[in-house]
Amino acid sequence: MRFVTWDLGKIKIFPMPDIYISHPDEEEKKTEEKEEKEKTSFPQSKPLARFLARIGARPASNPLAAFLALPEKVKFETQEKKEEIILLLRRHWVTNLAWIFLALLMIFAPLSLKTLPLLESLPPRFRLVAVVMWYLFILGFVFEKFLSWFFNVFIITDERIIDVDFYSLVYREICQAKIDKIQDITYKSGGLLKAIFDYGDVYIQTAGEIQQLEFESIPQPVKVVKILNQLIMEEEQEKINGRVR
Amino acid sequence: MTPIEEFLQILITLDVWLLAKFFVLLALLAYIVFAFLILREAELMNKTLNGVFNAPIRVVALFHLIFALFVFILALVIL
Repeated sequence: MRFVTWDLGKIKIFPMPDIYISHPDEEEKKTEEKEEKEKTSFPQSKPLARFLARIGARPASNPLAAFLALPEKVKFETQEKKEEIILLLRRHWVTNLAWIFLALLMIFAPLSLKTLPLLESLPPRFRLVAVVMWYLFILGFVFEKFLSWFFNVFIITDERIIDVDFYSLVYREICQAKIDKIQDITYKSGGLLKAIFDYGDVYIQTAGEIQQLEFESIPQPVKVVKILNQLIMEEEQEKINGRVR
Repeated sequence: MTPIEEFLQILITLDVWLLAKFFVLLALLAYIVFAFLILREAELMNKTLNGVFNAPIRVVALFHLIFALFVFILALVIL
C-alpha cells in the first residue's frame, strides 16, 4: 500500500507502513487447528470431561463405534432431563467377525452353483426364486445380527448404569443400578483376541435389587473401570457436599 | 373306486411343482411376518436408544419388508 504527499509541486510516493497485514492462509490454518482441537477434545469445563481426556477417552464421533464417550446426539428411553450419558458401550466389533465371515460366505455361495449343480433338477423359474430367496434370507440374517449388536448396549450416565439387552425379536430387558449402589467392580480380559484388541468383561456388583450387571466383551475395560471409579468418587463427593440429585 | 384308490389317484395326478409352489409361498408368507417383526423390533429399539443412526436402520428394515413382499409376488407370478 502507498500514500501520496505533495512536496514542492512534485509528487512523492512513500510506501505506507503496514499496520496489519492479513495472512488468509495462516488464519485458515489457525481456524482449522482450533476446529480440530475442538473435535478431538472434551469441553474442559467439567471435571469429568477433564478426567476422560486425561485417561485418553476420545469424544464420540462415529455412531457405529463400540466405545462412545459423552455421545451428544444419543438419548435413551428412560433418560431424565439433566441426566448425561458418560459412556455408551457395545460389544467390541471383533465379536462380529464370525457372523460377518459367515454372511460373506453365504453371499458368494451361489457362485458355487456353476461347479456344483445343486439346483439343476429344478426348473429355471424355481432356480431364480431360490437364488432371490437366498439373498433375502442373507439380508434378514445380517440385519438381525447388526441390530442385535447395535442395540445391546451398556450405558453409563452420571447417575446410573444401564444394561439394555434385546434377547429376541420382541423381548427386551433393561437392568439399571444407581452409581451409589455399586459395591464392587471386577474386570476380566483373557485370551489372545481380547489381549490383542483390548476388550473384556466388566462385572459390577450392586447393593440393589439386581445384584450383578455384566458388561460383556466391551472395549477398553480398564478405562471403563477407571471412569466408574471416578463416578463413584464424584457421587460420594456430592453426598458429602449435599448436592444429591 | 374306494376312497383309498381315489386318494392314490389324486397323488399320482398331482402336479409336484404346484405343490412346491404352495410350500414356497407358505415359507415366504412366514418370512413376511418375520420381516414385519424385524421392522417392529427396529422401531422398538430406536425408541429405546435414540441416536443419529435411527433413520438408516428404519430404512433398511422397511427395505427388507418390501424385498420380502417383492419375492412373494415374484414367486406367485412366475412359479
